[in-house]
Amino acid sequence: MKILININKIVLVGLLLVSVSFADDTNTVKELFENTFENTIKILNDQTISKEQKHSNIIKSSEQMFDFELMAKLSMGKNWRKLNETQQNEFVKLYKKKMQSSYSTKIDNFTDSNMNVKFTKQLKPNKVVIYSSIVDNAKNSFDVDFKFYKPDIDKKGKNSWLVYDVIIKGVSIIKSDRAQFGAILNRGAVDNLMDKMREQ
Amino acid sequence: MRFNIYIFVVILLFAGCSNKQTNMNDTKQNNNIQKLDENKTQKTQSKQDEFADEFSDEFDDDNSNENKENNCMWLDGYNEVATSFNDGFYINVLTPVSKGYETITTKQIRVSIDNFFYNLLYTKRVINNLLQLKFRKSLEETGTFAINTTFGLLGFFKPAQTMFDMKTHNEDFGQTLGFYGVGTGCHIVVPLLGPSNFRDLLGDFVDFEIDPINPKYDIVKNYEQYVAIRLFKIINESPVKMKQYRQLKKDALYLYPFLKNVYEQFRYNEVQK
Repeated sequence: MKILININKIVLVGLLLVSVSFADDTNTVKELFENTFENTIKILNDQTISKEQKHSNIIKSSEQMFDFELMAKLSMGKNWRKLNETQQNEFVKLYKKKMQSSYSTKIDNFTDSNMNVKFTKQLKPNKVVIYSSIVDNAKNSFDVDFKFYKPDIDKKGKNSWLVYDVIIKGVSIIKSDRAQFGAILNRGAVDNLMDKMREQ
Repeated sequence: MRFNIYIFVVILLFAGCSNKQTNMNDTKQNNNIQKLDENKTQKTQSKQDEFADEFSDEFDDDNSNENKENNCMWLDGYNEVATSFNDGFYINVLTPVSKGYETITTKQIRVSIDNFFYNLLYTKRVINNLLQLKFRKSLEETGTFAINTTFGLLGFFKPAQTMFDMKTHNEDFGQTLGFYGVGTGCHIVVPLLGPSNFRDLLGDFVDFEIDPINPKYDIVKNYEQYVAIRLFKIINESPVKMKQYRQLKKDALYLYPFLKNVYEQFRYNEVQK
């Protein structure tokens, strides 16, 4: 009987510890995210620099939050293995460029907007989702979710938690890219896809 | 009577689609068997691949909810053509029109007209909220409508949202059907209007029946007037909508599968809300 009670205690303490460490993770990610976004808004509303300068500054400050390599890989899905190493490296480069230009056009809409973190959720010990909404002056709002994961080994020049998918109004950018990349690869070769990315 | 015919036609379409689905399930099973074989041969995976697999459950194309039933390949040819037709129309016709309209109106005017039309569709929103048993949302929707219609001067302004911090809950019959588990059916691109699917098309027909500017309610006298109002509404929205479209298009490398996926993901999420 005593042993049972002790086991219960151990389990309870264990559970407590786990939940505490989970809560810490979501807080770390939330803080990290809010800092980056605050910085972005500051750059956006800075009247002293040009639009191009703003974009490159924003990319520089938010780059450390994203894992472009993993995103590139995920957006290729099963097709990733069909690429040889040089193709993979080339694809990651092109994908990163695509993401950066897409991010800077989207971010222009956020001038005079506020981002509120609605809630956070820990999916797995190494995965956290930030559910946020962007609200403009006229109180129009839409949801943007950021999925973070914690890599086993810290990556050079990157945060300890990294974004691997962004979901805008319920639309995952990885999923939509996966659909179109897959459709292009169904019809043509990898070079076809890369050419289209270069043209963009 | 007309309503019954709509339902009949769409049920027929659904029936056609469900046949297609069972076929697809068969091929899917075959695919799964193939996949199992592949998995067996790939036991010597590198560590990197194992890591990527950790994410694969989130992005599994075959099992993702948005893609389950809208892969009606027999429509792909038509959909591709319709997508490029719409793209041409949006870029070469509607965008120049929207730019012209922008020069003769102010943003405030456009937003107010938009507010007015939105407020007018209260019946559609509240009925679909009620049908989905979302009673609190129906209540808030009613409050918003009452305040905006009176203090908001027939809905041209939206004090409920800006002053009282109330929210509006846009629900349509497509979402109601989704709420009760009706599948999306095939994805179909509607000329001029853009991506949709069989379920949402049926939803549009039902919503049209309770639209106050439907000619049968005497606010509008005939179909010509109805079309004119709809056209005006589209032009009034076009500056915002066309900007959104151009931005979305920037992310597209292959327009049809991209827009299809974006639409189905978006609607899936709307139904889940």
